[in-house]
Amino acid sequence: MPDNDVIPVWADIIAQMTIGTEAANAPDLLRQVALAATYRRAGMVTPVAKTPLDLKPAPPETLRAFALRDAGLILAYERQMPISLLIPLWLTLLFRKHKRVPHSFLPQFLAMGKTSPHLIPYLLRVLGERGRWMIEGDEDYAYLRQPVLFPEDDDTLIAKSLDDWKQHPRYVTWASAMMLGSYQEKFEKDFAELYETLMEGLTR
Amino acid sequence: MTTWTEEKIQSLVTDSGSWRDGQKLAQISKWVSIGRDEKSAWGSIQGSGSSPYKTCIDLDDMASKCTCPSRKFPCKHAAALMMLFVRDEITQVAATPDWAMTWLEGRQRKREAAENSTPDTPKKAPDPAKQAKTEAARLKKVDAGVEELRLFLEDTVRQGLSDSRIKDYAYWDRIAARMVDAQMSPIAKRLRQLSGLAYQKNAAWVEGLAMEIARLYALTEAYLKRDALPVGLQADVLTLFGFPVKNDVVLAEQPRVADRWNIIGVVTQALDDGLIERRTWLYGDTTRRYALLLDFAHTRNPFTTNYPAGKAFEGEVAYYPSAYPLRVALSPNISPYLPIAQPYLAWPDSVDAILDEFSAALALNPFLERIPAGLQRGYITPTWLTDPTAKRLTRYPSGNRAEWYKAVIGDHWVPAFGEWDGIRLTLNSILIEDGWLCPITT
Repeated sequence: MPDNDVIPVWADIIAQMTIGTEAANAPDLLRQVALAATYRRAGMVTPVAKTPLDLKPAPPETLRAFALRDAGLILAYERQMPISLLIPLWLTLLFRKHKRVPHSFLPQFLAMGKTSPHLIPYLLRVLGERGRWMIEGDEDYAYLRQPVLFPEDDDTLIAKSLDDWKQHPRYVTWASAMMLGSYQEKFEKDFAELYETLMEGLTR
Repeated sequence: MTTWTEEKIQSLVTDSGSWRDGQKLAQISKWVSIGRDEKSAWGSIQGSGSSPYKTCIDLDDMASKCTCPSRKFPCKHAAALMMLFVRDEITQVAATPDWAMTWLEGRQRKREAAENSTPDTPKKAPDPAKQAKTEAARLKKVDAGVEELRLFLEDTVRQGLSDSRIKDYAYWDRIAARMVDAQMSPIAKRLRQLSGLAYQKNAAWVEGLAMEIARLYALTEAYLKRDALPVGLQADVLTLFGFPVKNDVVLAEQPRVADRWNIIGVVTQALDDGLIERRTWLYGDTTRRYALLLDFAHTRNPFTTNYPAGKAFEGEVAYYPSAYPLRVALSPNISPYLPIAQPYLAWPDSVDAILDEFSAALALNPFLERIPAGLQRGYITPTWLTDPTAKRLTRYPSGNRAEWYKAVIGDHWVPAFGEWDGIRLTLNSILIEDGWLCPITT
């Protein structure tokens, strides 16, 4: 490390570079900046966090994540009628299969509870430990702090959902066309079950 | 042939936008025509251009070509075609279109040429006299170019960086064009990049410009005194002036290093004039050394190879001569891709160790742009990478939001990998849940 006298004062030489210099001094000024710049890069002092990190790590997951592709589709369907009507059924089927939302999609699924509050009971069951940890730790997700209350069991819910759909044959045609369009009949396993449940239930 | 799965495809598509858009286009109905044979899949799809884009993938390594103007590799059309292939939705047809065949044959020719150029097959020796003459002519041009560059830089500093010329693109373009004439293309590229600095909103642009001008000047001094430099640094300086060192020469002349190489980060960066640089970072299980595969492509002539981040392979590399060797040439015979191991177990757990390494590296090569930086345990936010002692590296802005990090890392310490340039960190990837390597989008 050279003496302080050798390393030029950074602010001074940058000021000199800004206003210019005599032609004869230009090479020396360039050398000074190059030297000082190298020492600045090499001698970076690590910034330290003002307060120590007080991490409260999320507990481990007990459920497996469902496919990223399915997560993307659920988000896409939420914004489209009538296919959005399928989401409660889909989330119920995923819950029954012990699946949870993939971590990288959690922010969007948590936000879904705000844009579609009727989905909250269904969402809460598939957010996993990480999702619950985020809700507990962030006031912005206070709207999701509610007990999971279902008046009926899942079979009744699924049957009711299918009955609702039977009342709207036109919706069924649209929805099945969209689902087929999404995957060209080559579904993720979970998505295939949704499609089959829907089709079987509607034709029963 | 490799068995491709959706997960493998996703690891190739390092750009999250291409993955998302590719999913939307992965519907047969979106394609004007589509087909495949044993070795390739192709299709044409209507984009914003007047005629449909033509997309083709090589099923052997999922290299792709598309006529769309995207600079991403693979582009969303290629990503969509890969997804449709993996889902077995593309029907085999008898005839491969001519345009696809032309590209595939070109790739095959390149592969054969690469195989033939291995050191095992002696090539026709170049004429030494002719070679010496060419080198002398090149050196003469570069010598003249270096003198011109030094005068330009001195004059720029004499006028001062507040001078109005600094903000004139033509001022930098003219000298850059002169450097191209002097066969100093990398220098020309750096000069062109300076032209936009003065328009940055950040007031620190003067410092950035001053540092880069001074670095270029120091580089010219190193060039002029190159005979007095250590051999490795000589090679570094000549590389920065554009004197090429060919892959096959490196493989033939430098010691081979065999290892199981973990692919820990892939960075694709658009340069000027449609040129794309790809930096693939490897980390050896046994050698515990970093290695950099540096590739270039053009929007009109994309990469012919893909290295999936989060995978590993067994193979040999040879390090390019350098004072701080990082770049490697990869021997053509590598194993099929394997699961990534646990490279982070050998990484330091303090950012001070990264800074110390960078200081040591700069002492060997003061012109070094960046070093690979792996941290065994880091806490990540959009702004910082923090170590367990609360020391931090500042990050370059990232497209990922705070909530995303919270969801993905769950306030756990995670292994992280990026590139440190002495000022900020470009975070490339983090390893989470069961060793899954999660690319960070920028």
